[in-house]
Amino acid sequence: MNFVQSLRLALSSIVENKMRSFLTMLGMLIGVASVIALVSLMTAMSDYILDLYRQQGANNVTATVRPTAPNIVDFEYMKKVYDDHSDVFYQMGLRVPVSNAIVKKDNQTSVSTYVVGVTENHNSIDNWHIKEGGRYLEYSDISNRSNVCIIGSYIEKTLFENQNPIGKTIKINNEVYTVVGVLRQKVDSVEYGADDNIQIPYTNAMKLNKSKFIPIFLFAFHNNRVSEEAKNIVTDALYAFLKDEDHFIVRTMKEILDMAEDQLGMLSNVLLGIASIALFVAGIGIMNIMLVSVTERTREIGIRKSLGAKRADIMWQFILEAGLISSLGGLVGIILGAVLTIVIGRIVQLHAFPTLTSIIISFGISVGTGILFGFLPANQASKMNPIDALKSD
Amino acid sequence: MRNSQRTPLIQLINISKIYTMGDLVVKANDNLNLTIYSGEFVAILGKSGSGKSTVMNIIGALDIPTSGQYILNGHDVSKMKDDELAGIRNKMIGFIFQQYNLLPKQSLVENVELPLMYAGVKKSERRERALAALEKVGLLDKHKNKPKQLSGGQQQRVSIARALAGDPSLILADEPTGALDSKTTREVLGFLQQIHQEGSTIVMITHDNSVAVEAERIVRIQDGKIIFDGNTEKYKVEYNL
Repeated sequence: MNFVQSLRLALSSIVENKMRSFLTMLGMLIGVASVIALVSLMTAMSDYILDLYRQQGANNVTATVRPTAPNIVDFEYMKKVYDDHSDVFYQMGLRVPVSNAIVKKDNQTSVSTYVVGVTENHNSIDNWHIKEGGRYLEYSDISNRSNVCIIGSYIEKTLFENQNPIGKTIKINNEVYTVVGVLRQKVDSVEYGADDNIQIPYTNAMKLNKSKFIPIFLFAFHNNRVSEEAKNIVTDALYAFLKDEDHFIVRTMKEILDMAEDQLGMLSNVLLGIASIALFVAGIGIMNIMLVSVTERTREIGIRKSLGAKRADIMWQFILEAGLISSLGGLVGIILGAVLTIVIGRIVQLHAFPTLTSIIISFGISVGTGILFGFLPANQASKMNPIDALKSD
Repeated sequence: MRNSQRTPLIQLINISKIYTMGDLVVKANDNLNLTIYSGEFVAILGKSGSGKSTVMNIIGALDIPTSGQYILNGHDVSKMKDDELAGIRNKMIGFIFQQYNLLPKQSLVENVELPLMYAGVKKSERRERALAALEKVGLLDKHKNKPKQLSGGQQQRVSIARALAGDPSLILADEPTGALDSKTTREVLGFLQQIHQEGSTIVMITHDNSVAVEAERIVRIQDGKIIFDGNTEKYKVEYNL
């Protein structure tokens, strides 16, 4: 019996037992749909997050000084480093987060807001844009320690719903600050997100913290070629000041990006592993059903063998049946997975699309699983003794 | 007796089939010798447990003997492996079973085509030959029906058609009328007579004297040995029938 005939035989057997075939392929269906949806959504999320990081500008060196450092690295010291290397750097800035910041407007408190002290060029370094009608911080704000602030789009949304924030006041740790500018949304205007922030002059932040400690310095360098040099300059400068590598970390945005990519990749693989377990279990299900099927059809196998079916004929009959069931399950699973990806993507506002890799891999696995798990039952069937087989009912 | 070609189709030479179950040693067939010629109609007669089923399995290439030789159509089948035996069954033997053994989910013509399919015959030729065989047993008009739509006798006729379709050297019938009433029994035996007239070699296994005497020659088995081998007339005389 040739391959096409075996295939037809397998197909007709599946059609004959529609309900059982469907229930058998359900496991594979769900497994494949899960793999595709999980991987595709994961990929979409990864791309989204990585894009976010990229938007920050990749040509930045971020130097973080740990609180354990014995001396405070001051702005003047780092500014000198910057001035001395204008061939490498074209901008520098800093971040002084206000710890335990409590932000109030009238009676409303914004619990999550990140209040940070920055330089007057921070919008340039960190890629923020001011909405029409407002302004960003100026050098005079910093030198005068003016109680002015720039609010992020989330703050505007939650504390200034229908009003124009410009000129209005808020309280930061019970001190009154005037809003002079509103930032355009950078990401998604959600709580705890990047747009949930208030920027004030760093001199004010120091005052609110009652400390001159500056934890983060930012250096923007010209291009990729000088990225290594930029990192070394900043590292050397900090080492010279702090004398101990344990007190600071220097990273380029590229490194942060790479780390993020690695972590997302690992997460992706874990999810894939879990989903693969589902596929494996589906395979076991198929094997079980095939074993039952073979037992039920013992008489039929006996008849076929008595009429001249060879071991290979019987083998192919059942392996193809198992392979077809799981492939069909895989195909439907792909369609379901694609639909899930797009629908869930819409709900979480991610641009998600089923990835070609996940489709190919999960379909391949579904076909392979069927054939692999069909092997044992098929082998058992092919080895049956026709005389005994004919006696069963 | 016909003037058919006297070539031995089946030669069983010193055939023994021995089963060992723990301490128990059973000689299902004990040094059997049997020669059947092309064109004969032979009944192998014996009670349950006489060894007739064992010898049928050996003749039908479903099993191989423990010792001895089985030559079928010039091929020594005695030491063949499973797949080779399958090939022999497919090409040379047409089976008719007591329980008909038709595939319930396939139509009559698909059932009759089955041996041809395993023989690798092309689709159109398969269909042609199967329909011709069904016509021979008078069931051509029902070729699209499923077996359960037919009576026992009709199903057995389909079985006969299937056995004929591959144009085998030997028709091997195992208690072909065992599941049928007397009227249908006569009908089916009539069919067997007819195909015998048309040139088929038939070996029929049975426990029933009244069925056995429909054949030309009777081989009686008891305790694994042949106790009578001769033509039906002689048998009737010897056993007072």
